[in-house]
Amino acid sequence: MPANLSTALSRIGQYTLIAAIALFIATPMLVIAVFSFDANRFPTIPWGGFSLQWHQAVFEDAMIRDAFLNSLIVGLGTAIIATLLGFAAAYIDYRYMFRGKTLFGLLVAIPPAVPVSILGMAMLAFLSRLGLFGSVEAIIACHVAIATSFAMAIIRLRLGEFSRDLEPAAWNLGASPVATLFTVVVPFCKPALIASFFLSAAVSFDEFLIAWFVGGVNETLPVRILNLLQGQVNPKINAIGTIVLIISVLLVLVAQRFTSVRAGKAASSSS
Amino acid sequence: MSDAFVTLDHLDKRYAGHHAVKGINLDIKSGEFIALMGPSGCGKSTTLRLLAGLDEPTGGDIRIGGRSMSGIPAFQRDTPMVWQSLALFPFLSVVENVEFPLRMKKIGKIERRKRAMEWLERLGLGTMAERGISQLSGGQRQRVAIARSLVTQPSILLLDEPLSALDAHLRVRMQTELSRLHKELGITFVYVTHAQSEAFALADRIVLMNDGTIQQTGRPQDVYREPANAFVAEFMGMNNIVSGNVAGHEGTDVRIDGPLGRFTVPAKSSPTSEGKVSFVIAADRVTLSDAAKDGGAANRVTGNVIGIEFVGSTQTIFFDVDGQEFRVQKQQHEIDALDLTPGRRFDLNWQPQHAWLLPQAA
Repeated sequence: MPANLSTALSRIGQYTLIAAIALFIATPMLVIAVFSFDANRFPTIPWGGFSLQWHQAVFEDAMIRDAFLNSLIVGLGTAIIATLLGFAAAYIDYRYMFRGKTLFGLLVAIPPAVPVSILGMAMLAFLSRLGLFGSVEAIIACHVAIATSFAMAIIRLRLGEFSRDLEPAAWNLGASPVATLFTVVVPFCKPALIASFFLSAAVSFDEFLIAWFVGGVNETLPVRILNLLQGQVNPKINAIGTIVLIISVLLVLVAQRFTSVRAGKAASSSS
Repeated sequence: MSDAFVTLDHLDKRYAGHHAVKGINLDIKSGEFIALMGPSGCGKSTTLRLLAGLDEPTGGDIRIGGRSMSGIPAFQRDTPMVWQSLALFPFLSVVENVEFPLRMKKIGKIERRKRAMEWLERLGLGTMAERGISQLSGGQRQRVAIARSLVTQPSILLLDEPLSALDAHLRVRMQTELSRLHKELGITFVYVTHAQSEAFALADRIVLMNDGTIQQTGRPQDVYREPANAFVAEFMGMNNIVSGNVAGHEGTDVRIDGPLGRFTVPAKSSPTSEGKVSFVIAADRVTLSDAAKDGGAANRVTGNVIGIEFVGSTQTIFFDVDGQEFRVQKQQHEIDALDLTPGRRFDLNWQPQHAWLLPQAA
């Protein structure tokens, strides 16, 4: 019995520790979410009663609406372009042997390893020379550079499970190389393509520093939040925070849903 | 031209640092079941890939139905292949897999579903049509792969060791099924295998390859009984090879003197033998008797038992004959009465007409 008791105790200890860590991470976000529905102007205890006024104020604020729209455009653009580029890079890496392949891999993988402030400044200097500074497209271009790394990693992982016989088998059954790409390779990678689409969108939606450097007057949502914060303590911030939090979590959850399913399951659920 | 449906004309394939297929010539008749055999790396799979257009030959030509395949890409050849890995598409259902080649031919949705279902029914998979590939057993997957290859009604089917992933029981059943399909369809089958049992059970003719060249072609039993050279005799397994010098001729027979004794061998394969020769005696043609006191009789060697290998009811007894290994194959009931403990001496006898003189190598 003492042995059983001690394992039970150590299990309780483990769960408690994990719960404490999770709580520590989640508390600030929960506080924001809770106070976004508080009727009081300043977050204080006790709660001043349930209210949707700050959420309503957010939706009525034209600058926030514009920022949200910008974030949406940038996120969508980034997701599409990064997924396409990531797929192309992953397929090239899977399919071909060539000189400088290591360098090619490094080139795709390195942007997330560069400190964002450095990347942001470099992008700013570069884009202002090109005359692209201050545009939504500039933000997209920078976000694509970062998100493509993640997209490629996810899709390359999936291609690792792609049997080397499948493409030749498709040719053998009358599919031209181009038809094979679209009827065999892309469908096989579909779960990874969806995952990298949502992950790229999440990366872009959350990204602040680069958007702040290169966006100019085109504010994305994170940039708008900072500008709000700098002006005054505004209870609208809690409401925006809650909305951004929900969207980000949803994007990552969808991405995860498609990366974690095994090949077999994905195959049977998609057919 | 001959009545060949497929012709390999000095077909040659070099990879960097490896000469896989060395200018082979082969005619395959329409409707023939051909087995390409040989040890791994002998060029049999490369030959199949060249036929399918998955590799480009570096010399020679392939003609199918009289038409040169040179420069015709794989997807325009209509030479479907059953892969060792099966290469089924995991993201498609069973029926969608079978429909795939029809879809590539731009055949309408209703028509292709109908034709795919016909093939699934024919192979007993009618109820599995909507399932995913991962939900099928090995034998069922095998049938899907075959259905997918035959749904376009090709005139030739290529098979690359299709049964090697199956267990023994299933393998025999699939052999029967393939044999039946071949008879019903009357099309040409080219079957690559390293398993003698499959080739013997299925093929009208076997093509035995080694090191990129064809060693022998012929009916399985002929290749087994009358190997063209020492490699074929050894690859066929249960053969003993004896060497010696030609000592004289007796009618159509050759007398051979060698380190193991004096032998008489029919000379039908190479009538004018001189000098050093080898002959083959199949393991199942040897009879055993207790070592005789009187020596000197022809076509007999004496050896010590080394060990016994059991394969079902057939047993292979290994003998040491003056340092050379001899194999004797017997049914269990034939040797029940014999004491085969290692070290025991036996006489190994055979009828002269059962020995096969190997054609002399250059």
